[in-house]
Amino acid sequence: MASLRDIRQKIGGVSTTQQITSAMKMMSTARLGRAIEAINLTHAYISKFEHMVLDLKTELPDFKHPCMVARPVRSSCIIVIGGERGLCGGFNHDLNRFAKGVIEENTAPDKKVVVIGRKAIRFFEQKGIEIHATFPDLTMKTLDNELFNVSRTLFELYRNEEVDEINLVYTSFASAVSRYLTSIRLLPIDISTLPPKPPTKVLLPFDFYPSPQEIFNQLMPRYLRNLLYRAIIESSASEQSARMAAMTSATDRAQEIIDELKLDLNRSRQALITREIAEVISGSQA
Amino acid sequence: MKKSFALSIALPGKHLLTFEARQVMLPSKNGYVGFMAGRQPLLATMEAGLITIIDIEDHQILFGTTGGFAEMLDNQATLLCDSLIEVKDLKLDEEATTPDKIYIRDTSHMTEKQKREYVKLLMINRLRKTSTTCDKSHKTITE
Repeated sequence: MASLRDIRQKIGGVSTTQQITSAMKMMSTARLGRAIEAINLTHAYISKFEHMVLDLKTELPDFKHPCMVARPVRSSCIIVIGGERGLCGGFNHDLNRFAKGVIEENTAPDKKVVVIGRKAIRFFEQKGIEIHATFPDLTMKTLDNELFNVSRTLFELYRNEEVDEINLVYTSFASAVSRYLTSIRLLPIDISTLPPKPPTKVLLPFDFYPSPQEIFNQLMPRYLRNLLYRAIIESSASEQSARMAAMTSATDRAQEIIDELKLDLNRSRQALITREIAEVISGSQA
Repeated sequence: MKKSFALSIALPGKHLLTFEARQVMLPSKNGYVGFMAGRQPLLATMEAGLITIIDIEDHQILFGTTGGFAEMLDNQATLLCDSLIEVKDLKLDEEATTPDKIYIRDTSHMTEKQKREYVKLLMINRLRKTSTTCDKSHKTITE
């Protein structure tokens, strides 16, 4: 049986771990709250964008922008949004396996894989999958400055026909306890998949400044940027919710271990006392 | 005919700003355009410049933007801005160093930071010449 000192040391060690996991749980909860708020605000902004795209399309039904026209896929770009850190249960493992499957199933002769997130970058490097570009450390604070350049680069790739489609793989956020792996096509845009807009009363024709083509050319990189932004903050929220769940179970498990060790400690102490009493009695009898 | 219209300003990752406005002036590609209640539907791009709103109490409210889109439909205007600069974001010590005349420049090749600096100069210049404010209360809502 372990000595009292050993058990006390173990209890001390597990308590320290429990304090760390508890602090990480609280940090994840706070970050999750901020991410959920950002998701709600971005949903409002994107829905306004989608209304504009729908208005433009309703007004000019025959108008075809290159971003809406599907072409034969010779080169496909797959953007994978992964996690930045570990200690979040199966979050990184599940996403990386799913993304690898999506890449393998893609039948395009040329594939350009763009990876966001340090954990996903390391996974793809280890698996020997060729990566076209990487973006580690895209946090919510640096997102505003970086993302505009990322989306503009992607849009230029598509417009110059260097890629014929852009796909996105990420973990979509549903609630603090549920998330699901998602693979969507960003470009070309399928207008029919956009949520419908409430009907309007005015039937007058639209004025366009400067022209529908020019508006679309400016609208599309921003729309792409906002979809990417939403996917990144949803992925971040999913990561935080996964970490929160993992840290909650780690904290609970640490408490169970402490309780078991305390029981062991009491048993050992009682056994020691009993043995000492027995020794005193046997000594006095002798 | 209604003399005012609902105006909302949306920003990525920020709360929606809403106003009941009489008139709004925007920086479009071909210069500033203004619109009032009952306007024909409009969809326009916005360049870096000033947004001037005249609310139902005839107060002028000034904002700066680095670009975006404007839509007017069903007597409701929506401005989707890349970023929004408010008067409270301006540093007062910059006022002394701002030249009296700011020339209108082509901002299409400017970086986001350069656009912000340019718009701030325009705002300071405008504030110096007029009594425009943006301290009037506006509702901030989340959808």
